[in-house]
Amino acid sequence: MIPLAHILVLSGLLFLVGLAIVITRKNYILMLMGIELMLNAANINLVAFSKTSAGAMQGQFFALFVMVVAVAEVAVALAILLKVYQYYQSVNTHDTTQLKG
Amino acid sequence: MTILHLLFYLAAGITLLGGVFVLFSSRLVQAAFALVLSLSSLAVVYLLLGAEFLAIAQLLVYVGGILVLILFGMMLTHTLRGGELVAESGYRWRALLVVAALGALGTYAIEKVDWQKRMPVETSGNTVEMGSNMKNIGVGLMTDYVLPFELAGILLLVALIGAAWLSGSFLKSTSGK
Repeated sequence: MIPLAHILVLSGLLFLVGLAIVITRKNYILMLMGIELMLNAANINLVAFSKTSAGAMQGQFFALFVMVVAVAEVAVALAILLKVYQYYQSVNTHDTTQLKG
Repeated sequence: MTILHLLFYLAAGITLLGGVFVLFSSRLVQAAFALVLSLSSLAVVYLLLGAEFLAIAQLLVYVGGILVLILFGMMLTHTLRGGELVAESGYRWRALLVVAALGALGTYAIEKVDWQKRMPVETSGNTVEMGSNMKNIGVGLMTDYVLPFELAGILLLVALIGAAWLSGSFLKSTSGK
């Protein structure tokens, strides 16, 4: 079977790519995509570890709930982004500077 | 090196390539479709790891749901003038620094622990026996995990009603202008 370390490397690399997207991109929607990639990287780990001990499925259940929370997060985030766009006419980080962030 | 191994490394590579494309692409819509590619090959990875239900849920939820949401979000938050939707990026060196530091930490952690000794991986791992996993998940969701399952349902209901309320007033106020 596939060595566990290789799965962990895949998940780690995917997490780093997601993190790099969140840091570098200046568009809020692209940053959301990076967050999705990071959540998925965590899910890979959960699934991989649920395979290690026979019969235990906790990892898969947890991954399922992570997915549900990801959906809720994206829906609310996009709704907020619509409001942000309505106010600033932009969804770029360098335009939404009223909080001096 | 069986065909399953090959398929796993292929799917893993496509997943990472899709992510890297999102990282470097300047066009928003292309980035969204690269994310589709990445997340659907991740479903293949789940399938090869013996999580059939998660693989199908991944396709339904991410490719069918979240990507459509993201594309709609792009459509509604940009003034389309016939040109391409372009996004800038910045903070490249800071990102490189953070990613390199975290990557070094992760590599050290993965190297340090002898995973094979600590966690015996099931060697059977054939994904042919479909159905058993599904049954386990169905029974588990209705017995051991019924409380988190119901809570997840309530969370989704609350979040979606909230999202609909927020964006609903958005549509009303823009059409009224």
